Amino acid sequence: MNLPLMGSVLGLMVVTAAGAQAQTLRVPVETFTLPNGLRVVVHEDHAVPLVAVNLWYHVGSGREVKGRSGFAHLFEHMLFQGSAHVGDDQHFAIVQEAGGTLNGSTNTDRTNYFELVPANFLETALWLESDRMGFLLQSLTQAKLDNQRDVVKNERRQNYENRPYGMTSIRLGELLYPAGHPYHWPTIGYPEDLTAASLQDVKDFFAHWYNPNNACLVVAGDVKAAAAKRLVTRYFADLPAGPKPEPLAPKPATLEADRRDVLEDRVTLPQLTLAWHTVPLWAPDDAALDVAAEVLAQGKTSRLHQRLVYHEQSAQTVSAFQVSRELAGNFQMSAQAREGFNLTQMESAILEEIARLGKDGPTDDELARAKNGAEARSVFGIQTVLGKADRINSYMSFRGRPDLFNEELENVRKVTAADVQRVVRTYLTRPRVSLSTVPNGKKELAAAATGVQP
Amino acid sequence: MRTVLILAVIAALAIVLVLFTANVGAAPKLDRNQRPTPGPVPPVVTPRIVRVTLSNGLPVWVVTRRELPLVDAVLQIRAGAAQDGAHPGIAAVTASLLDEGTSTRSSLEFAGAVDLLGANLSASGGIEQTSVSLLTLSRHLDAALGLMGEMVVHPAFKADELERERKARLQNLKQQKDVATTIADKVLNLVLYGEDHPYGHPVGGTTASIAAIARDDVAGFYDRYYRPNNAVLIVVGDVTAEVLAPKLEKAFAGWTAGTVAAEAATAPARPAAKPAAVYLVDKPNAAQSEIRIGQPGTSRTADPDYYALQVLNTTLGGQFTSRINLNLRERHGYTYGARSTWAFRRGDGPFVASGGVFTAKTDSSLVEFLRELQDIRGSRPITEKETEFARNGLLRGYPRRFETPDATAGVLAELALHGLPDGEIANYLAQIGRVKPEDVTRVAAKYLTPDQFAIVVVGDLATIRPGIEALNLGPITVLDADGKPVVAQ
Repeated sequence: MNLPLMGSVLGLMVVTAAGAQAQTLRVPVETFTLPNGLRVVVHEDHAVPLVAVNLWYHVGSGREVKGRSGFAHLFEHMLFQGSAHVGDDQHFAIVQEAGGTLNGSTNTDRTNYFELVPANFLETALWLESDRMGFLLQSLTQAKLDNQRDVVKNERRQNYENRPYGMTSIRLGELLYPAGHPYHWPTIGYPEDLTAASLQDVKDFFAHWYNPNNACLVVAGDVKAAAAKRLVTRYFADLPAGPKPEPLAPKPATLEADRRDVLEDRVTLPQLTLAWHTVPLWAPDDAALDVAAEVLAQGKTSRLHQRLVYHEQSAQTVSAFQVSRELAGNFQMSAQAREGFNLTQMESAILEEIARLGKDGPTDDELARAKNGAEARSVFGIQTVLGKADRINSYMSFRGRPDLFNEELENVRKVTAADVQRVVRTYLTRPRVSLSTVPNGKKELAAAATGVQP
Repeated sequence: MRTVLILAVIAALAIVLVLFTANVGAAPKLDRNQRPTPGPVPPVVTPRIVRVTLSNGLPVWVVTRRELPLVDAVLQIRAGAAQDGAHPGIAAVTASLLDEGTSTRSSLEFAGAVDLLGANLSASGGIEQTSVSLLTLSRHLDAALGLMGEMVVHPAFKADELERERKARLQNLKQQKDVATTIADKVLNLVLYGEDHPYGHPVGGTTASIAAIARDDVAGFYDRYYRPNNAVLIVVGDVTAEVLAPKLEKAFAGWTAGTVAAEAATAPARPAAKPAAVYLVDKPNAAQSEIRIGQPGTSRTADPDYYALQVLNTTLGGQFTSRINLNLRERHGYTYGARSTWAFRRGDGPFVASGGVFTAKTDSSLVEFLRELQDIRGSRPITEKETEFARNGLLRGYPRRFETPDATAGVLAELALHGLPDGEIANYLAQIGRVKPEDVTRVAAKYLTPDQFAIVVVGDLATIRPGIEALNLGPITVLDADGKPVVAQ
C-alpha cells in the first residue's frame, strides 16, 4: 500500500530531449493476485466521484473451435442475463438505477466487461461482477440462449449484412489467414454456427474459460486502494480457480503469393482493401508500422490523402493502419475510388507511395507530426477512468504489467526514419491480399493485377 | 484532489438524494443474496465558471481543471442549418472551409501546423450552432489558440477549396443513399417538418443545393453570423481565465462585432400538425428494416415539462432497461437495440422512436413499438417504482457529465445555446427529484399523440409491405432515398 495520496493521477516529469520538452506518463497503480489466481489492479483518481470496474477474460473468438464461430461473443451476451444471486434481467437494471453505464465487448483475443458507477456503488459493481464469474450457470436457460442468439443475429445483420462494405472485413480475415488459424473466422460468427450453439456448449465454455485464474480485474477511480483491495477480496477470493488455461504462443501466418478477390455489395463507390502480414502487438516493429501508417494515409497531410483526395481528387477516402493483435498482426490500407476512377488506379498509387516511402523514408516533419500526435493522444486517451482502466487491463492481459503507458509512448518516440523505411521494405513488399468491394454487377471496377510492385 | 478545491459543492442535492450510511467496522460473513448497500452519496461537484469578455465582445467562459495537462476549447457560433435559408447545407460548408486555407496558410500548410502540435482542431456545422473545437496539450496552448483564431477570423474561402469541398460532399450525398439508417433519419425529418422549415432539410444539404452554393454565399453567411457578439467561447482545462485572456485577445484580434440577423436568436415555429401516415423507402434484399416513428416534440429553451420528459424517456426508450428495448430486444429478439430520443432544441425538435429490426419481423416490431408508445400515455402508465428507478439513474448519473473537460464544455454549451442560468445545473437535479408518476403520464399524453405519428420504414418492400399494409396505420406513401414520392409503375 504505498500509493501516493496526493491527487495527481499523472506524474509529469519534464525531461529535455533534443531541445524539446517531453512528458513522462505515469499512472500509479497497486497490483495484487488473489490465491485463486485473479489478478487485480487498483488505480486511484479522485478528480470526479466515479469508479470504473473493468474485467477482462483472456478468451476471444481465437479460442473457438470449428463449427462454433461467434461463440465467445454470443457468450458475452449471456453474461448480462442474470446470475444466481442477482436475478434475471437485473444486471443492467441495477447498474442503470445506480446512475452507471456498462457494456462488454469481444474481439479475437479477449472479452471485457465494464461498469462506470458513482463511487459509492463500487461494492455493488463488484458484487455483480463476482456473481456472474462464480454463479452464472445455475441461471442459464434455453430460453435465454434462444433470445440472445436472435439478438446476436440481429447485431450481425445491423453491423455487417445491412451495412455498406460490412462484409469486407469478414472476407478479408478469410483471405489473409488460412483455415484453422484463430483469426480466419469473424468474431461475430457465421449464422449457421450461431444456430448450432447449444446450452451445453455455453456451459462448457464457461467452465473452461471464465475462471478467476484466466481473468484480470481493474478498479480505477475515486476509491482508496486499501478499500478497493478489501472489497475485491471479499467478493472474489472465495471463487474457485478453474483449469489452467493453455498458454498461447504467437501464431504468425504467411501468404505464399498475392490473393485477389472481389465482393459485390449494395454500394455506390468501389473500395479497395489491401492487407499484409506484419507483427503482433508489442513486437519490436509494431510502433514503426504505426508511424508508417500515419505517414502513408492518416490525416490530411499524409502522402496518399494529399495525392489521391486532395490533388488528384480520385479517391473519396484513404486510410492505413497496423492491426496489432496478440497472436499475429497485419497492416491494412483502404481507398474508395470516386465515380470515374477505378480500383486499379487506387492500388497502383498505394503501391507507388509504399515504394517511395521504402526508398526515401519519412521526412523530419512527417516523423515529428507522428510522434507529437502519439504523445498528445496518449494524454487525451486517459481522460476517463474507464479509458485508463481498459488500457491497464490490456497491458496486464498481454504483457503482465499494469503501467506501460510510458513504454508505449516511448516505443513511438524511439522510431527513426530508418526504422520506418525498414519496416515498409520488410513487410509491405510481402505477398498481400487485394480485396475489391464493388457495386453489384460492376466487377469491372475491381482492381486488376498490374506489374507494379512496392 | 486539487480539482475539488475549485469546484463548488451543491447543497441542494441533499434534498433530492437519500443519504445511505455505509457499513462500518468488521465485515460480516458474505451473503451474496444481499445486494450491497451503497455508501454515502458523494457530494455533487459542479464547475465554477469564470467569465470574461474580450475587447471585441466575445464572451469567454472558463473552468479550470488541473488533472491533466490539456485544454479543451469550444467556440459556439449561434448559427447552423436552421439559418441555411435559401442555401441548404451552407452552414456546414462554411464550417468545413474554415480550416481549408487562411489568409496566411494554404489548406495543407494549416493541417500540417495543427498536426505538428498533435492537437485536434476542427469545425462542424450543427442544426442551431456551429462549433469550432480544440483539444491540445497545455504546453502547446498558445500555438493552438493561434491556429483556432486564424481559422475563425481569417478564413480564405478560396474558390478551388470550395470546389474540392463540393465534389467530396456531392459524392458523399450519393453514398448516404447506401446507408439505411441515414435514409430513414433524413426522410423522417423531411416528412415531419417539410423542406421549407428550418429543421426540415439535412444539415449537409441536398445534391441540388450543394451544387448551387457560390463562394459569395459562403462569404455572406460567414459575415452575417461569424461575429464575436453571436458566439461564446468555452474553455475547460489546465488554465485560468487570467492567464487565458491575453492569449485570446491575441488569437481573436481583428474579429469584429456585427449586426446579427434576428432569426439567429429566435426559435423556429412548430410545424402544422399532420395526421398519422406511413412512409416506405425500398431497400431491396435488406437484412433489416430501419424503423422511425416520430413527431415534433418540444423546446428545451421554453418548456418546463423538460424534466418530466427526461423521466418519461428514461422509462420509455432512453436506456437499455427501457420499455421499448426490453420489449423488442430482450423479450422478442427482433432487434439488436431499439430506443427513443427527444432532440431538445430552441424550437420543437423531433421525438423519435427507432431501431433496425429483422426483415421478417417488421410488422410485428411496428406493433410492439406502437404498443409501448400508446401504453405509457395512460393504459399502462409509468409506475411509482419505474419513476423512482428513472429518477435515481438520472440523479446519480449526473456527475458523469463532468468527467472530462470535453463533457463539461458540452454541458456549458447547452446552457449557452438555450440562455439558461448557471443555476440550471442545480435546478435540474432538484426538478428531476420532484417528478412524480402523474407528471410523467401527463406529459406522455400531451406530447405523444399517435394520431399524428409519422412512421418511416426503410427496407425490402417486396417482403415487408403486405404486413405493414395489414396494420392499417395510415395512408402509405412510397418515397425514394431523398424523400421524393415514387411514381407507381
